[in-house]
Amino acid sequence: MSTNDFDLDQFKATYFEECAELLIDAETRLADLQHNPESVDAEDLNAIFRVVHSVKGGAGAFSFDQLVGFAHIYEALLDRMRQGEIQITEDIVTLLLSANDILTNLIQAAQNGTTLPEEDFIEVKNKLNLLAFDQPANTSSEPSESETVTSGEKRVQKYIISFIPKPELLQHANEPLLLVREMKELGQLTTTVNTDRLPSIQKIISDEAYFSWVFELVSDCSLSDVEEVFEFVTEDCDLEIKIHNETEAKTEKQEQASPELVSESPSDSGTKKSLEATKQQAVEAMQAPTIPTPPSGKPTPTGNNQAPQRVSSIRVELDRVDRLVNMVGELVITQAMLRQQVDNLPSELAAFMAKGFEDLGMHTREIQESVMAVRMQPVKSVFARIPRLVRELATKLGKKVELETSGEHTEVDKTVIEQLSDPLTHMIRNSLDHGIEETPADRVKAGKPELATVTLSAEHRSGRIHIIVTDDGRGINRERVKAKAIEKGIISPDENLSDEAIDDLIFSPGFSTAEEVTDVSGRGVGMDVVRRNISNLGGRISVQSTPGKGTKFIMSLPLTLAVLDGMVVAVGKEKFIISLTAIIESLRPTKTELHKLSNGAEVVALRGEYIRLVKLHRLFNIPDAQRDPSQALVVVVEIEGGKQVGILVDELLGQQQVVIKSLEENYDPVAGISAATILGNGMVALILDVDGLDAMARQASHKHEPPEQTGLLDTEKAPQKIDPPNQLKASLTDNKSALPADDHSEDETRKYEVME
Amino acid sequence: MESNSLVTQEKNNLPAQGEPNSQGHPPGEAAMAEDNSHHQFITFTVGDQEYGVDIMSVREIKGWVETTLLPNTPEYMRGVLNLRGVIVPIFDLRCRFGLGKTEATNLHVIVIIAVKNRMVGILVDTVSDILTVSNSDIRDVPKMETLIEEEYLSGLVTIEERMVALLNQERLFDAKMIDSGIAMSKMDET
Repeated sequence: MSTNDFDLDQFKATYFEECAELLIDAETRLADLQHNPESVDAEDLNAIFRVVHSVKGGAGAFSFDQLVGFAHIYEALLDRMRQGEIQITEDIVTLLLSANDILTNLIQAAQNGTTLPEEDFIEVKNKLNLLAFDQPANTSSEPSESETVTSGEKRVQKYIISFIPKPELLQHANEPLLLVREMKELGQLTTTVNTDRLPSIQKIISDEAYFSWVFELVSDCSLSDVEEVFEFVTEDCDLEIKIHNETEAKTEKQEQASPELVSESPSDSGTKKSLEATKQQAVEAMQAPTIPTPPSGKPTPTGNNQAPQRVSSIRVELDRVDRLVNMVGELVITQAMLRQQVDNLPSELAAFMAKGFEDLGMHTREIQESVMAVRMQPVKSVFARIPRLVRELATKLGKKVELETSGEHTEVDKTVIEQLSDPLTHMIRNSLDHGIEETPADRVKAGKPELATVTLSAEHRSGRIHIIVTDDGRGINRERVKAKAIEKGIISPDENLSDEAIDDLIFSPGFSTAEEVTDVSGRGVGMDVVRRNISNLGGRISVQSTPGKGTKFIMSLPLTLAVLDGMVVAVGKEKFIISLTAIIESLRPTKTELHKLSNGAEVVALRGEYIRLVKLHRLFNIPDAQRDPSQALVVVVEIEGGKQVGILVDELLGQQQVVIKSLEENYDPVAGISAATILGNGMVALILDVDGLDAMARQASHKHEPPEQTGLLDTEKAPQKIDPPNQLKASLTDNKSALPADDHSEDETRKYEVME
Repeated sequence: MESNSLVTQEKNNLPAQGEPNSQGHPPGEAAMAEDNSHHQFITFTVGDQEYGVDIMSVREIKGWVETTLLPNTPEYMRGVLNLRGVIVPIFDLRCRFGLGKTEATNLHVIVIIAVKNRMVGILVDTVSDILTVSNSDIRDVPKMETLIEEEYLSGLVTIEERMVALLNQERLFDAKMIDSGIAMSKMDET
């Protein structure tokens, strides 16, 4: 088995991937510990121990020495904890949490091929060291020392180790040579190879292990040290370790995993004191599920006695899944295309085909759902990073914050998960920095507990996932928000805004109310970026705030970015798709329900509410469309912040599940369009971005705003020749920069407005 | 037709040559002096002008089909079409050069080319030929009054009295160029 650099890199990648997963697991369990330290589950401690141990093992193989060193101490402490030698206190849990953070940093450093400066973690390391090793009577990592105590000198012993690999040893990426090397470091080693199992050369399977070995090791190390060498291969080999001069006793020992051993050691001539036995037992307990030959199944004190876990999941490259998802997408389109063709067949044939297509349709839908399910992941992987973020930020900001999470098992498509991390991080930062009062003392003054609570939760709601971040801080200071918005020219001073509208201003570009710019948040790239990111995902974010009580951010996202249930609408000759989840209702307004505002915007009265109309044909400059709203249809959709607007279309053509295709793959983003899809006839149809449309429409009417500046008459006489692309380009850029448009484009907008 | 089979032949040869020849040099000739190395171009006509693009960037040639218009895009952006599940934008070359919009019919042709990592289609009148041109035969584009030609052409070749303008497709569909194209067409209007 040769290992060249390339292979090693591959293994490294796998190792880091696994580390990430393991750390998430450890983090989750530590969070449990933190919340109810009284009801500590031994299984939790064991699990964390195993995580650290695996990290250490892998790190050793790749010689990440710094990582190994730290993991070793961390592991030693955990080992003592799970043996009940160290009580779990709040301080310890805090220490463990920071140790976990450091472990994460070290792994990251190793991944980047660097090391961490020692001073970054020396403090925690020393604390760990103190706890893990400072009581020599109970030292678990250096058993030889305890032997010194009892027998006065280190005993040199001769171990005879019979090591018979199972054929699959090599396939499990274990390398006997490494074991030999490791043993050699323990002492003087004599190796005898047994090649009896070696078949004739024609029958050799290159990745099966045929050799077996007998090692004779003369060393002053303990039995457990020798066993540790084989720790990772116990499952893949038959292993027997004997101590030469005490053969009987030791062989027996292999079979004693029972608790009696603790109190009464029947073994060898006093060298194995009860401490050593405890240690031994612990090691065996850890290995209990994996040692192939012991009389196991006996419950051990740590409760770690379940059978080896069967593999119930496999690791698949995302590429392959993506390809599958794409192909299924094509299948859905082709199926829809064929279905449409059937309608053109003579009726008797069509009836004949219809049944088949019904089945086919069902099956395709099912395949699609199953394939999409493959990519579904619990949001846990994103949530798990948050506790650490909160800890670090709270320390940095001098606030006392507790994080509560729920619904971390809610599943959502991998594509969404990937995009979720940044906005979520930003939201949490915002809550900690701006949401929660400056100091714990401020909170007490306000009659609240010193410890602030930030809640993070996820849930499925009507085909979308809702992620909610709540804090019990001071709430949005509406006065200040409004003042700031006026100062920044986002709103005009005489604008009369509802509370909700003011709250919503925090999503405006370039808005930040923090008095001082901190290094946590408030660099001007604030919630507007969050909103844009989320809206790029086809999601929405809104805020609810009660002054003095707290703030709640609700993020609503589609479950997948691959398919969408849409309504096909027609405007002129064009067809567009509106996401079904956004649609509330559709109606044909009567003339009396339609009103025109002084700023040129049109609204429709619907059950006492006024809903602004978004005229698609006007925004997109589509000829031959129905211009009279009372002759057309208004599709009422919900946009960001739960507001409603009515999109004016000619007619509804029916609902359909569509596969989302990126327009940006080969072209640039187009305002008002979120993506494209392919209809049953093979034509491309555009998926509308309702929030974008609303912004476009608002931009158009906002420019129109101060009506007193230019008389309506003037504009009506304005030349009709306009250049819609330029006008929209202008409004698009404005939208991005949120700066008042220059006179030029304002002019054009007005002309545009009047065009009808 | 003959030239068509030449292309196929070359493609078939490629794996045998071991190293894919991204420059489009005919196999065997790559070893020749650099100036004598050959490029192959697919040429097509727009009006009475002939243009060429590097054959290695051409992905597909297909007849004109109806496209879906994108709102608020420049006039020469003729919408998008579905190329086996991929959304591909189509540009009207005539319009791009400020010569008016092409009245597309079934006889018009879309040449799908790869520009950097994007796929775009260009609408042309007809596809005419495959040229094998020695690098030394490619002439620089003379400085001209109108910026467009100079910016978007990478060279000129003379074939039997005909002049073929070689397109610099990377520039032709560069976003910045598109913007300046708009600016220029606006200047034309005034």
